[in-house]
Parts: sequence; structure tokens; C-alpha cells
Amino acid sequence: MDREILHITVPAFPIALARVVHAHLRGRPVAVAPLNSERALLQCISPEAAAEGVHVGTPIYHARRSCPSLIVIAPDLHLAAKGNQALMELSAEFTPVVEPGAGRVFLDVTASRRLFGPARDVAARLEKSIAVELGLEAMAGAGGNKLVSRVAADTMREPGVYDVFHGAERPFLAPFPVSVLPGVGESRQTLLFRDLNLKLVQEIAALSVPQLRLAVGPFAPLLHDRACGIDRSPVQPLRMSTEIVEEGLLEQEENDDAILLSELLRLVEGCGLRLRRLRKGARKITLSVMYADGVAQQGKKVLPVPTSLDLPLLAAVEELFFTTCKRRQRVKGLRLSCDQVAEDAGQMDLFAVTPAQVSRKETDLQETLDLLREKHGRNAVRWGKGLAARREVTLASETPPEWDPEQNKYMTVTKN
Amino acid sequence: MFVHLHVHSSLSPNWGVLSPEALCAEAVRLGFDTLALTDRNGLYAVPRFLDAAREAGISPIIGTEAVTQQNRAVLLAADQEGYANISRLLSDLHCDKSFDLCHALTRYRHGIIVLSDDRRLLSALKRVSADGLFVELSPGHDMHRALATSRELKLPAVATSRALLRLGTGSAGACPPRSCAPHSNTADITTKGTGTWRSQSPPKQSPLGGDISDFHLHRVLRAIDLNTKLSRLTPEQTASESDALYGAAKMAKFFPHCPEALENSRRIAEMCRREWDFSRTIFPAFRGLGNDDAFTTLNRRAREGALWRYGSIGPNVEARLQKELAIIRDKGFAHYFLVVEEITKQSQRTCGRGSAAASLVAYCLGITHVDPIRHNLFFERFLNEGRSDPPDIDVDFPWDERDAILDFAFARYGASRAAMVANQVGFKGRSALREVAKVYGLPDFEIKEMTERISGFWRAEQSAAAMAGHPLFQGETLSPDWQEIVATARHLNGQLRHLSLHCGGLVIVPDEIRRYVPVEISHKGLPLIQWEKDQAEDAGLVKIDILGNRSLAVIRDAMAAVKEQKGIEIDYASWRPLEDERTQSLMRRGLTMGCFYLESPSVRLLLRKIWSPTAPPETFAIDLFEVLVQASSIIRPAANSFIQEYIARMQGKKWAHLHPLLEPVLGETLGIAIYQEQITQIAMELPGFSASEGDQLRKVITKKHRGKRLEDFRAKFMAGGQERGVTGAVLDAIWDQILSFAGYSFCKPHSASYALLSAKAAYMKANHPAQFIAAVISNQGGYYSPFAYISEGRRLGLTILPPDVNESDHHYTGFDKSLRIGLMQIDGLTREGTQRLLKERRERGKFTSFRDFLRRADVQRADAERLVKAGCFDVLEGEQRRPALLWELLHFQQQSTALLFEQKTELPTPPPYDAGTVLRQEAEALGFLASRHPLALYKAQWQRHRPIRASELIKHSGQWVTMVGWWITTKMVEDKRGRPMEFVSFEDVTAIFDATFFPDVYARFCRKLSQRRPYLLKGMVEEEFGVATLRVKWVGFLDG
Repeated sequence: MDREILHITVPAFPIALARVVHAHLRGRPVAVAPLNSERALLQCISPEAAAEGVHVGTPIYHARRSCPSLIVIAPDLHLAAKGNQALMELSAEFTPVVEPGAGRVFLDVTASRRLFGPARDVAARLEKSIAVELGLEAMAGAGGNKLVSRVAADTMREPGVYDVFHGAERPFLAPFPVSVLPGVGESRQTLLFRDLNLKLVQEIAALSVPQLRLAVGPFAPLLHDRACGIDRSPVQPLRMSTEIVEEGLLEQEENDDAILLSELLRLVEGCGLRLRRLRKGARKITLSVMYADGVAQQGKKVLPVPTSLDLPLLAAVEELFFTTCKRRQRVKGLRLSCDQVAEDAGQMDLFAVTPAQVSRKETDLQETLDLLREKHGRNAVRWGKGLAARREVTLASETPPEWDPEQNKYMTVTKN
Repeated sequence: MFVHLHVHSSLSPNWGVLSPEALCAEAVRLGFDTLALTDRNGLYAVPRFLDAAREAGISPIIGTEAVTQQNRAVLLAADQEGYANISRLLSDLHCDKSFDLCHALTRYRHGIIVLSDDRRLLSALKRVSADGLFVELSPGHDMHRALATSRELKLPAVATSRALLRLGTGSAGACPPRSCAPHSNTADITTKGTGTWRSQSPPKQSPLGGDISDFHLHRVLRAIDLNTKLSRLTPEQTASESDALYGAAKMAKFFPHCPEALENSRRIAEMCRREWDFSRTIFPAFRGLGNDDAFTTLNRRAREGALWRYGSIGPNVEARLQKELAIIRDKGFAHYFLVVEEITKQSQRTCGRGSAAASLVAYCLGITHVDPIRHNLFFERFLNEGRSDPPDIDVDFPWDERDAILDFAFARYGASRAAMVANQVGFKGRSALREVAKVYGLPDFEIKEMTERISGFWRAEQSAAAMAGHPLFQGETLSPDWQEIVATARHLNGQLRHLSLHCGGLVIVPDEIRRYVPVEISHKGLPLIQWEKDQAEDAGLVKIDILGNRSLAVIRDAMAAVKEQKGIEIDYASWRPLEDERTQSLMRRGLTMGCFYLESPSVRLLLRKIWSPTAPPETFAIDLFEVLVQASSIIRPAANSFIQEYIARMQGKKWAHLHPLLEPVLGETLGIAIYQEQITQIAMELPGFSASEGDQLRKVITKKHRGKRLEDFRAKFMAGGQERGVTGAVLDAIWDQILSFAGYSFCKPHSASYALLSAKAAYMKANHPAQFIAAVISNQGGYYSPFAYISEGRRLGLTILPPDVNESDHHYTGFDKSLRIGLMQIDGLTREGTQRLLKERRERGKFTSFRDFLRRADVQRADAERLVKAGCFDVLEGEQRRPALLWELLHFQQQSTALLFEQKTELPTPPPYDAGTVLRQEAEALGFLASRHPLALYKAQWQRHRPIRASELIKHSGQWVTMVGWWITTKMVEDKRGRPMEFVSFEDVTAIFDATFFPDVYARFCRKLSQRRPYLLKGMVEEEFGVATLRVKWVGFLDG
């Protein structure tokens, strides 16, 4: 049976959301970027900004030059999460098989045809309810698979449904540039296709698989399928995970260990509390360090025994931190995940050295702390380590030296 | 009484903070009369320290702190022998991987006083002898344990503070101490420092509550060195905060329990030698000859050479030879000349330069090539009776032959006698900012944003000033992080990071180099002394500069090509390029792009102005060579107003000497001081300085160390002049002229050597342009980019041919009226790939098709791809087939790797690229467009603006015009009031033209300059001496 996949997208999602909350942003050029520096890069821009020649990925001050009236807002993760949640909930009214993305959802409505009619009807209703309930403009694409429905939705300039009939997938994709195909991103392959003079999807579809294999190797059959509009990937609803994850973004990017460790303590306490509520301990911890320049490093560690108490957990995490965070680069955020969550008294290794017993006192202390915090708030009792450390600041009160003409008079500078 | 015996200057690599001068000044302030300098693992600052100590009136003690993985000890030189031993020991430490300090000290113990708190080392040394062995007690460094060691081993203790910080003043760096008042509150912090007290936490704030403290700077230095961040520095990795230069009384407070340790410091100081004299010049020895034998040899060679140069020895030559040889004999320079001659003989084309070109002996020996008698070169600038410092002969070699020459020198003299001069690499404005910002963890793109606007020439202080006041930074407020980074970075000046190889300085001594200075090993594997050229010179080491010169290689290659293609051979020694009409005309029209030394826009402008259409016929009668020598010397940043005057006088303006006394000095240069040695001569004529005083004045003005001494000289100059009846106004005017030599100027012999080389290059350009331009681009490193030279080639009437798999060589080739782009220009093409291609072609003939190439040449896929995209197969296969060739390449590659299940795949036939893709591929592959001028692509856009042609600029003199241009080169300068401005050369399809951005326009448009985009310019055409330039008022782009 033919599948019916529906794709709903809200263009410039963070901006669209912000415009719902703040009316003054409507109709004006808006961009999203972290506001800590004028050099931060734009993450998302509104069509008005795009019309003024602003591009995603340029620094703020650069963008302001080509568009002086640009309004820059900070990314609001909370709002984005709420928006995504709302999209999910609205979609879930039509089918349980919903795959979320940032400002996008895939719906598999194959089985709900009897209930709600064909996909384009579902799309129209969903668009309407998104407009009514959330006040957002959404575009929809419908088709026999995820690829086609996504491309269809992305071509829409204003709300509506682009329905690609079954059997028309290949001619539909044919005139698009090759970059719409997943797997042909900004990688080397784009360059290769450019050199081989393959610009449109139809040109790839016209090649045979062995020919294509010359260019892309084992990826060829899949790519060829995609170029022909064949995409068998299923719509995947969110999976439940046993991981316990705490994530923290620093207020300000920082490379001072003291501050990073105090942030780490906060994450450890969060994880620890959740573990203890489950009466379980973690066997494996994973620490991801996100740096200011976008690089991430990850370290993993297996603990000898399941741990849930804050202090032993912290000791392990700190050790992991020093082996993981090796760069001088400032850190933007930290993510701690506790995996292989096991019963406190799980199966033990037969030949392992007997782990040090957790003393009664430690457990008591932790319990008392947890109780106190539950009753009086999380910050009622805190470890001294976690008190917001100040970065060592050497006050630079010296006035900058004068641009001294005498000194520079005879300094000839030749650039390049 | 106490003496500091363990002190680090900023030349302790990646450790010290204060310059030797600042340390001496601080020691004087604290009332010391003796100071030791013990830099880490080196004598990096010894000559400088001795100089600074002499100025400050302090007795210097020389030593070092030797630190290895296992041991640590302070070594002080008790006598000359001790100095030599320290130097040998340090050389071993740097050169010998299995170095062990205990072992080395037993070997080199003589004349060395050892201070250490290393128990193992002390007991090992004590077994041999307890003489000159002391236990070092320093506050903040496990003092009680050291004291216990001293009692157990029965060795005397000595107090040190391992000083590297300055107390109280708070400011740091090599800048002179600004506030010298003692601050008592700092004492409270540090007097706690007994026993094992150690600074665990970083400083909250420096005692003065404002400035960057020395300690903070030290920590930043350590973090830079260890590639870590401030918060992760362990106390073992840095000095302690208590390691400061204390006053004697403060020091006494640390040792109430052990006063003898203080006494011992004085005792040791008395044991050490404190009168050091490094002024004796150390010459190399030529083939083990004695002084007399060497002189006889030199005498014979010089006379042989004179016969070779002149055919016969005339009376004037004989007289000059005798005069020079007499001085050479008296001063014992014969060895030096013979050594240089021997090295010079290793290459066919050299250019001896610098003041040595004034010497007839050097000319006769073939070291230099300008006839000093014919061109009236002043020998005394090179050698005179009164001059005490060693002479300096610099010889240029073709850049690609330099390594072979050095190899020869080391093979001849051995690494035990010869070594290279070092550069002491510290921080400059840009690197300081970058390194500090990295310690602070800023992302690279943010750092680059800042640093790319900072000139590599600026020092740290200047870049801090620029960020506050330069138009490039206008309208940006620095974040607090950046403010702190800038404030820290501006104090990073002379702090030594590491040594690097000086570009050509070679030192040869008669006996053992390690006696004089510690030797390290450079990355290239050459031995390297620890001093840079100034200190080496101060210490009496004579250096021979063996420098690489690209233009010599250009001339060599062009001559070889001409000989091969046309069969014309030019005899290098007797070549008189300026007698050629075409060469003269080329130089007079300023068409000297690509000609050594005369190619920058400012020199070309000068040449054009001198012989402009407005010049009277007499100007054309002046000896061209003399003018070239003068022109290449007068182009100095500070001599702008004199240049105007010079041109006017060249064109017949009436003028008189500022004072009749100047007639003999400035007569030949139209009354304007042009050459460096004219400073000396003026000072001798006018205020009656002695020759050596005059020479000193020249040095003070042209070298870096100025300041107070300059003031003294000025006073003396004025007084002397007035005594001789010269008025104050005249003296002021002359002094101003003299000052314009600051920083950058040449002596006449040097300019003459270079002018000859320029003329040779110009000859090649005028007569064999294709071969010449090919050689210029192939040797790289000209003033302009390859693109600019290709444009110049086009203007010379050459056809530019694209790279071709059957025609191109690795380098560019010129043939008749065409210039073939070499494979070297193809971006990313590996050296190995090129060699395989060329080898195959040489051995088995041209390639017949792409397939043939793939089968035979066996190059990597990426290389083949680049060759296709660069259009190397367009002749064989046609441009239309480029995408098809890439498919073929993929297929070929698959077949050669996957043999097991061979597939027969039919290849697709893709359509040819569109025109835009072809152009983009060309620009990507070559780095520029060679098939046409890039401006040609924007013809439709520029025609709308109706621009004038650059070749007709002069016709529009005084008018407001629109022009289009492609950026060629840029020079940023400061105007009289220190405001930045810029001279930019653009070209349109007809000619290169010079545009001036005055400060107001520069401030508005500076961020738009030096991009590779088509420019649209509006402004006024200004004419000066018959040459037109554009004074820009508005800048835009054609493409957006």
C-alpha cells in the first residue's frame, strides 16, 4: 500500500515564535543570534532580512552594515521547546506516528485516511489549527515518502499544501538542484557534482547506478533511489531513552576551570537527584564539552559500581572533565549523561576487586540534603564548591596608549 | 650585606618578564651596586646586560640557571675560564640528548660557583670538591628543607630570591619603570613568605589596584608556552609570587634564622669576576694561516684581481690598494677577507653589498661588483683607523643556492668553529595579542577579526594604541575581555620565546665557538648561537652575512633561458647594462616592475618624475647610474619633502647649499643628504666632530637605541656648529635632514651595488621580456603578485598561454613573445605529481590523450583533477570535454583499485561547462584569471560609468574623473600628523595607476581597500612634475 507522508514546516521557526509573543517584530527584518558579542553569527533570519541581503552565518555587525534596521534577538530555547511541543501535540491529533524536528514535523497519515481523509485534507486542517492555536504560518507538503513531502513543503512560499501524486515523485524532483537530496550537503560531494557538471536531480537520476558508483562509491544505489524520488525511510516517533541527561549552557562563554567545575557540580546534582528518585545508580557517564567555536569533545567513563551519590559522582565526573576538556578554547555548554542506569544492587562482576563500601554516613548526609532541598528549595543548602566562582580578573584600568604620531611617523606598512 | 645572585630577565625563555635594562634600573633604585643575571639555560642577554649594567653603574656577574628534567642549579662565572665552561655546559645541555647536569658539572666545574638546593646534585658534586658549592635558600621554595640539606652536607648556605618580578611598581614589561615610589602594602603580602609559603591562588589584583602585574604577565607567558589556560597552571609550572627583586633590608627579614646566608651572597659576589670586557674582535682564521701569511696571500690575490678587473694597475688603483691593504694589515682583517672571498667563489652570481662595496680590495677579490674608484665610494665608511667595531661584509647569493653555500662553509670550518647567528623571537603586536587571546580562550575567528587589522610591524604598544585610535577600529567598543587582553598584550615586548635562524649571519671563530657563546641546534639542524646580530657584534663576533636574493636567481634564470633559446651569452663580470639604449629608456620611463629594488610604486613614480616630459634636456645628460644610486637611497619613509626638492633640483631648479661648508659633502647629491655616510661627513664638516664621533652619531640615528643619547648629540651638534659661525636656523634645518635617516637608510656603496643589480635586471627586461617575466614569477617573492606580473607581461606585448600538460614546465617559461604559465601555479598540485608528469614526458615523449596521461604518469586522483580543471588538457581534448575527463578519471581510478569483479561501465557524456564555471575553475586553479583581465568581465557594468583610461590619466589633469581599477598593491603610511593614509596601485586594462587616499577619505573607505574585486573610483587627477596620480574621493565596487 502506498504510504502517505505529510510534512509541515514553519519557516524561520524561532523568529515566527518570537513574533507571536512580540508583536513589534512582525513585518520587520529580524535575526536570531547569541547577543554576547557583536561578532556572534546569525543563526536564523526572517524573509525581510533576507531581502535586505542578510545571510545566515554572518556576524551581527556585518549584517547590521547591510541592514541597519535589523533587530537581533537572542535564541530562546525554552520558547522553541514549547513551540515544538505544541506542534507535536497538534499533529498527534491526526496520527500517532509523528517525527519532530526544529519547527518541522513529519506525519505518517497512511492509516488515518478513513478517519481524516487524504493527506492534503489533513494538511489543510493542521495548517488551520496551527494558525488558530499558535498563530504561526505553516507550509505543508504531501507525498509518498519523507523526501518528497519535505522538498514539496520547502518550495511553498506561503501557506498551502503541495501534494505530490503517487508516481509523480521522479518528475517532481527532477528540476531541483542536487543539494536538496539528503547526503549531498555542503560536503566534498557538492564540489564533486559541480565538477562533474551534475546540477539537477534529473541528471543524477539519468545516470546508472554503476556510473554513479564511480563518483560516490557505496552511496550510489541509495542516492540514485533518492534522485528518482524513492525514499523508504520510515517516520520515526521519538524514542524513549533510559539515559539521564543534564545540560547546562553557561551564561557567558568561559575557560576558567573553577567556573566550569561549579557548573559541572550543578549538572551532577541534577543527575544525582534524578537517579536517587529512581533508586538507581549510573554505571556509565558521558561528558560532552561544547566550545565557543562550535567544536565538541566527548569523554566516557565506566564506573566500577552504580553510583548515585553526589560526591562520588562528582569525583568521577571531575576526573573525566580534566581528561576531556583539553582545549584552551572557551566553553559554551556542558552536557552530562548518565547511562546504563542499574539497580543500586545490580549484578556485580565476579572477579572485580570489592568496591569500597559506601558508608552509612554518606548516604545519610545525602538523604538529609535531598530532604532539605525538597522542603526549602534547591538552593537552601549548597556545596561551597558550587558557589559561583569568579573568574580571576586583572583589572585593566590603564588607559590605552595614545596613537602616537611621532612613533609611527616613519613606520611604513606594506600590506600583503 | 646582600647581593642578588639569582635573577631572571625577559631573556629567560618563556619565563622572565623584565628586560635587563629594567632590572638594572630597579637594582639601582634598591641601592645595589652588584647584580647577577642568571637566565634559564642560556646566556641569551649577556652583552646586553653588560651594556645596561655599565650604563646604570652596576657591577655585573654573569651566570645561568641550568634546569633539566632531573636537576637544577645556578652557575656563576668566577673567571673567564668559568664563563667558557658555563658556555660549553649550556651548549651540551641544548645539543646533547643524554645531557646530565651532575655529570656535566664534574666535567666543567673549573671556575664555576654552583648554587643549588638539589640534594642529589650537591652530594654528587661534593664528593669531588666542596669548593664553590653552596646551598640555595629562597623564600617560598622549601627553605627549611634546603637549610637542613646545608647542615647535613656541611655546605654553606646562600640566600637568593630567584627574582623575576618587580615589587611595588606594578607595571611590567620592557618599558622603563614609570612610578618608582616604594609601596609598603606589598611588603605585607610578601613578608609572610617564609618556609613553604607559596601562592596557590592567582593574584586577585595587583598591589597597585590597576596595572597588569609582573606576576600576571609571567603566568600568561607560562600559559602561552605550555599551551594551557591560566586556571590550569599548576604552582610547579610557574614561579612563585614571592620571586621578586627585594631590597636588602626586605631580604634580611626573610633570614632572621640564617644571617650567614646573606653574608655568603656578598662573599660569592666577591669571588665572581665583575669586570667583563667583550670588545675584542674575534676574527676567523683562514686555513690555519698566521697573520703574516694571510696578509701575503691577500696582497697577492688583490693584485691578481686588480689585473683581472682593470687590465693593468694604474697609479690611482695602486694608491688606493696600498691604502686599503695597510689598514687591513694593521687591523688584522686579512683572514676575514680571504674567508669571505672563498665563500663567495662558490657561486657564479653574487652581489656583495653594504659598506664593503666601497673597498677596492673587495672589488678586486670579486666579492663586490661596483668599481669604487669610478663611482667615488667612501672607503672610510667601511674601514677606518678610528673604528673599533668589526667590519661587516654582506654577500647576496641566489636564494636557492644559499643552503649549499652554508653547507660549504660548515664543511670547511666545521660546526665547532662556525655557527649561525640567531634571531631572538619574542612578541610583536600581532602575535602578542593573538597568543594572549588564546590563553583567554577566545575562538580563532574572533581573534582573527582583530589581528588581521594589525600590522605585523607594530610593536605591542603600538597595536594597543591602534585599537584605541586607528580608523580601522572605529566605532567598536572593546569587550572587557578584550580590554584585559590588550592591556596584557601591550606589556609583551622583548620576552624571549625561542630562537630562530637569522637569515644569513654566519660566525666563524679561529678556535672553539662554544668558548664564547652557548650553541643550540636549529630546526634545520644548523648550530645556532644564543645571540642575535646586535649582541654578537657587541661581543666582538664578526659575522658574514650570506643572504638569499631572489633577483640574482631571476637574472641567472633569464640569462640561461636566453642562452638556450637565442644562443646569446653575456659575460657577467664585464657586463655594462646601462650602456644599452633600451635599458636606459626603460628605466627613465619607470617601467621597472620586476626589476630588483626599483619596482615599488614609489620608486617607479620617482623615476618617472625625474625624467618626465617637463624635464629639461640637461636632466637626460646626467649619468644614469649616479641617479639610480641616489634614487634608490632617497626613497625613505621620512624623506618625502626632500624627494620633492630633489626632483625639482634634478630638473634644473636653482639652489644653493644651506651653508658653504657643506659643499664638499653634499655637492654630488644636489645639496640634499641622501646617503647614510653623509651624516658622518656633515658632522665632521659642520660642527667639527671627529670621524669616530660622526660615525657614532650615524649609528645612534640609524639604529634603534636612541633617546637620551640623541639629545646629547643634538646639543653638541648645535654648539659645534655655532662655534663655526653657522646660524641656528641652518643647523636646525640640517638636523631635520639628518633625522630623516631614522630607521631606514643606506650608504652609497650599498646602493651602488644594488643599482648595478637593478640595471642588470632592467637590461634583461628591456631586451628579453618573456624570459625575464617568466624568471620573475618563477622565483616568487617579488614585490607584486604573479597576477600583477602577468598583467605587466600583457602590457609588454606577451601572449599569456595557459598551463598545458605537454608544454608547461614546473616554472613559468618565456619564449619569444609568449609566456607559458608553469605547473607551479596550479593550486594544490603536489610537487611529486608534477615531477612524475615531467619525468614521464621527458623520458617517453608527449602525452597523446588524457587516457594516455593517466596510464603513463601514475599521479594521484586529486592531482589529475587539478590538472583537468586548470585546463592542462584543453589542447589535447578540448575544453568541452573537461567534465567528461573527470568521469574518465573516476573510471580509471576504479579500474585500477577494484580488479576482482571488474565492471564494464559505460561512461556518461556530460554537457560542457557553462562559461561561468570555466572562469571560476580558472580562478580557483591558478588563484587569478589569466585568460583575460578580470575587469573585462565587468565591461557592461563599467561602461555605464564612462570611466577614463589609466593610460590617458595625464590628459585629464586637474579634472574630476571616474575610473575602474583592479587592486594591485597597497602601502599604508602616516601623514605628518600621524594620521594613517594609504597609497594604492590599481590597474585597468590599459595601465597601472597610483591612487592616494588622504586621511579623511582613508578613514571612510579603509575597510573597503585591498580586496580582490573590481573597484569603481572617483576623484581628482593631480599632476606633479608631469606625472599624474588619482586623489580618490569616493570608492565603490562594480560587482555589488
